[in-house]
Amino acid sequence: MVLDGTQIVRLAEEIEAQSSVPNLTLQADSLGVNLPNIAPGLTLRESAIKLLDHLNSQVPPRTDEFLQLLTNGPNARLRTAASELLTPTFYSPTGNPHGAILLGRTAFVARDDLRSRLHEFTNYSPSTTRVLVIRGDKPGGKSYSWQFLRHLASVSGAYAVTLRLKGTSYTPRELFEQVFLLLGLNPAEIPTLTDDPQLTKIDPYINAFKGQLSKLTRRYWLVIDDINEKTVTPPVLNALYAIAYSVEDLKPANLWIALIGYNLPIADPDLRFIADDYAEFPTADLVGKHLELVAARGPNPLNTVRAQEIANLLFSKFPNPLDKEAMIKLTRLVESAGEKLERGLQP
Amino acid sequence: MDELDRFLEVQTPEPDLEQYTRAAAVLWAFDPFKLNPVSGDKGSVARDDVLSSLLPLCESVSNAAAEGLWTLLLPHRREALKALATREEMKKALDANPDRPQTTFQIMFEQLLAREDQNLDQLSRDELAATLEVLEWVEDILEGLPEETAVRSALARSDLVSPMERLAGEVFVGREEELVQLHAYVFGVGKSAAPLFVFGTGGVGKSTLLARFMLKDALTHDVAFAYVDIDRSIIRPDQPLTVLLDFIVQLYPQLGVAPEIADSIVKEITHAIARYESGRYFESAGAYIPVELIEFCARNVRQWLNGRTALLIVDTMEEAQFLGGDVMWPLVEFISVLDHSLEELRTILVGRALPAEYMNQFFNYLGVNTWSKDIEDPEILNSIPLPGRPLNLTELAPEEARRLLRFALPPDTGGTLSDEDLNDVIGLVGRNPMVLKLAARLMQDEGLEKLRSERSELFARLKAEKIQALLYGRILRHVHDDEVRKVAYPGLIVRRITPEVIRDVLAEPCKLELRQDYDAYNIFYRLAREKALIFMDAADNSLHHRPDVRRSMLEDLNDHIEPAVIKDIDSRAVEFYSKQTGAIARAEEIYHRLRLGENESILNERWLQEAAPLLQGAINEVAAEQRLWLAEHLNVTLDDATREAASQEAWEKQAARSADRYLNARLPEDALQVLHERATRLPRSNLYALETEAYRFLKKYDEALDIARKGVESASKAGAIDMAIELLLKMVVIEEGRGNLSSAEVFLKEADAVSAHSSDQILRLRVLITHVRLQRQLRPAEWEERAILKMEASAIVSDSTLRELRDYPVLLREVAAELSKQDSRIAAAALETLGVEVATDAQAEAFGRAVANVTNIDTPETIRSSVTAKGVDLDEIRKWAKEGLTSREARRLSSSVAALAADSTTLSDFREYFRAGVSSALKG
Repeated sequence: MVLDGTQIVRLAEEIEAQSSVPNLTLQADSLGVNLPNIAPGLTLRESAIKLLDHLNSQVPPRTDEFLQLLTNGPNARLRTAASELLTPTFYSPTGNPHGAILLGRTAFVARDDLRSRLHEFTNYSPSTTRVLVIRGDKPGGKSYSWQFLRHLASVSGAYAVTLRLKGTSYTPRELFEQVFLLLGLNPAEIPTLTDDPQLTKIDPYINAFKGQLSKLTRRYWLVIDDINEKTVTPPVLNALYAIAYSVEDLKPANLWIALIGYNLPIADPDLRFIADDYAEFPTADLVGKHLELVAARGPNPLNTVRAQEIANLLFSKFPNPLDKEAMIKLTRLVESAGEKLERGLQP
Repeated sequence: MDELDRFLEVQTPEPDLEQYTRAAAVLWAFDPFKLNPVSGDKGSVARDDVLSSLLPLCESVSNAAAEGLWTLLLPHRREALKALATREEMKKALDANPDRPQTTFQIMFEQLLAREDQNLDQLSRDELAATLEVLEWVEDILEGLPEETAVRSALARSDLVSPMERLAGEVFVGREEELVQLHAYVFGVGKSAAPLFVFGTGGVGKSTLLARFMLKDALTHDVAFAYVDIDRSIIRPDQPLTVLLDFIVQLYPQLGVAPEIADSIVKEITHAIARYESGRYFESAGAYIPVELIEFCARNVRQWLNGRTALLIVDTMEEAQFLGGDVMWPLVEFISVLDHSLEELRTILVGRALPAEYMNQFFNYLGVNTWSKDIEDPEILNSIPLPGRPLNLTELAPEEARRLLRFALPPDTGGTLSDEDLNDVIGLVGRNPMVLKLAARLMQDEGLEKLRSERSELFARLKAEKIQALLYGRILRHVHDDEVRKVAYPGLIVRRITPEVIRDVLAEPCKLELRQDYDAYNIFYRLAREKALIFMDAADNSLHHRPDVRRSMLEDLNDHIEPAVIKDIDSRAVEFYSKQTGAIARAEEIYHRLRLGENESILNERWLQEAAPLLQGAINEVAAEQRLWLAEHLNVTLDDATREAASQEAWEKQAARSADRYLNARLPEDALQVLHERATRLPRSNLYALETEAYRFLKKYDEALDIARKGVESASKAGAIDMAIELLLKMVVIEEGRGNLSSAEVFLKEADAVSAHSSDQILRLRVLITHVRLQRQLRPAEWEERAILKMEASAIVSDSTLRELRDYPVLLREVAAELSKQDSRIAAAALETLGVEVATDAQAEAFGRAVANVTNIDTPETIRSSVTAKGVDLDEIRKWAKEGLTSREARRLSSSVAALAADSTTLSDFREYFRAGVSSALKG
């Protein structure tokens, strides 16, 4: 798994409070990382940030290994913090993981289509799709989708891995290498094309990918994110499409794929089962419902009208339609309001 | 601070943090441990203080090459840049971190700050992508920025042009006349009556010629273009709408068209593709060639072009030809309609051979037999006026061939070769540009420096061992190692050679003398060096004979090798590959079983769909009977003569495939012609259903019923219950379509009785839904009887069945027409799969009434107001449904409908809309 900035900082602060530089150095050492090399002269908190960032950057990311170390360690607070990151708690008013509205501290509002479509991943049969496309080229919850996918994968016994394309300029071959590494496959199985092929020639890679699918040892949900980034070239998009097509076609025992930000039309008749979903920022009505549900979890439930009033107040602080900055600020405010309402506080 | 702020304890950011976010905002990426603030304390203690607040606003750069670097999330970046506000302040912020990573993003951002004029055509793809990214940072903050639309257009163009630059960046000589003809075809006065067909053998330079024309000519004339390669997996030649879709998707970004506008059109095409249900040709909405849809697209493209010329290149037509005439006919006619619908469009088709279907479609007036090979005869072609005359790309002229060889060799070497030397090479290999380039590469591989020191010896070797062999298969005489020669021939019976294949398959039959110091690996590596004969497949590092050499050698294999040896190799190969897993092994196993003539039951048992692409090349290498089996599994239609010679079962499979494609293309006469090649039918023949449909298209209903009845009897005798039900249901809808409801009910009762014995839930649902529909029309007042039927049908429509129904769009529409008032899931699923169908007035009116009451979507007020007690403005509805409604809104409509309460008025309106669709489909 990959930790985000907030998670890294929170865990680093916990390590600063509960551990020591020698301890952290030993833990890093057991993972084969020389901490003094990557974090020379830094404080404990900074060293922890450096170490976590370093583990995050590996392909596949090795953060899980460090978290596992902490969960097996002697310090109770660190054990709790690591467990929470490894298996995030969730709250669903219905008890069904598909209906989760809180993922750890993150609010996951609305997205009924996504919740519904993911039933095909969690309750699979020969007629269910193996591929989910989450569309959207504007901020609207695409990255929140990853958190929800990870949550559902976790509760359904699968392992979610993510490949982010933001800021990358992979060739198709490099893309396949990343995919192989993330899925625990040997990238040496990817053939070398010696005949100066056109960049669009991906058949040998796809054949190699198909050939390895039976070797997957656990159930994976492979989430490929940022496909709408401008740096993603058409040959890479073609490769992603071909990967998705092969998984839908072969329906291997251990692989599901979600493409986040793939906005091209899919007109292939053989892919009509592919589920797609538009990531959109929730409306004030949906946020009102969310706040009502969150408050109902605490000691001081809100009635529908009051919940809606609070949501409307939140939205009134921003221009309509919402711009990109407003969306992220509003998200934070919704989360903050939710946390307080859950504790029984009300404005 | 208001009540809510106090409740949320909204805090203003710390001043120190602001100094850091402003510094980070002007950097694409930064090391948080080295970041300097714009102003204030730059020490590590100060940085440590803000680190915990800064990192949550950032994300780490996922690229492993940039480990340790972080980047500010866009909203926080924009907030900080808004605060900086001016270029001057942003430049000052840059100065705080002089050692910033100079990535393309950073460079492009700083160019924006410097107001450097950017010629977008000169920027690389990476630079254009980076410019788009950094424009997003400062959009609405700074003035004097490049137009985003212009950058997007330049990026789209760059994506299309890059492959051409790779092709035409190679050595290019000659072809002056061809380039003149292409120019005249695209830019000449008036439009030619037919698309231009460029044809020629593999490697002759078709794609290179077109790339050259595009780069040096067409693009300098501001042409918008789409390059549709049939070889790409997203193009389905048997679904010509995929060509239209790719055309639109490639065109709109070049023309600065907003994605949401193009999306409405794309949505129409994708839904048109999704409405086809195999086996229910008549009721699958759409025409043979969807002229209305093509014209709708053409009208929009014309607007986008605004007077510019559009060029559509459809490459690799041989892939469609390979699938057979039933694929080629509709494709060629489709392209013809598209070409004629858009005056500004010039269409160029590219393939290895001139297709008869193309000649027949466009040059029938010549009165020549377009099915003969003579259609490529220059005399016939010369009777077609330029510039629309099919362009036959042949070998280069001698002088051009020499020039190409010189260019293809390193500059310091090419000039040292005399014309005589070059003529010698050309005399051996011919004047095909690809082969010439290959020859040049072989000469280079041998070490061109030797051309000076040991020139004559090296040159002799090149001639003797490599080039001569390449084209004429004479390499064997020049393979010096006996064992290697034995592997090359007869070892070429196997298609893939690996050390293991040499050891386990070829060694004994080829009488190889393997020793410890000279084993299969030695032979393999020596063979790999014979580049004129062999190439290595990067997919599995196996060696393959070059196809042209192998083909010619295989033809006379039996003249030179004992049949027992050939059989031994095939048998050993089967044994070898059958122990392995994977598509490659299975393809080879099947190939050798086919060569051995093994029976179908074994072949069927061993078939693996993923092996199909690997067996395409084998279709002409196996005997006729095996060819039929392989064609069936490769989805290929064979020619008439091969089909007629086949066994009844094999013939039926081929005839069914061909008739299916013709019916799908709305060509019932052609389907009947194939079906009438033989009168007899196997007991479970699915040709009855196809023939029934063909007659139905021709409105020969009595013949259709006769054939269906024969089929029912045949199926019943054979115990094929589902087939009998299928045919009876066809009889029902035939009678229903022509208004004989009572007669339809008689057939339905028969189907109903039989369906009680079927375990197929989809078929049972179809019977029930047809029953509900007929009962409603025959006895509308008897709702209790109908309610019982509906209840039984509803019980079948679980979530899982609803998912399955996505593959039965015609049935889904029928189910929605009867059950959606009580079950909003069904209405939503039908809308999602079928899209909005407003082809008939009844559909448009019903849709208008239904959608006017849906509150959660942005239905224009003009639509709501156009729905009055008196009627609905049909034009307004159609325009909005086709052009206004994006795929996202269509999805939202589906979600809104899913949320409607059962038995609501709006749901009832949607049910009426689906009924209008069913009624339209039944009339055809």
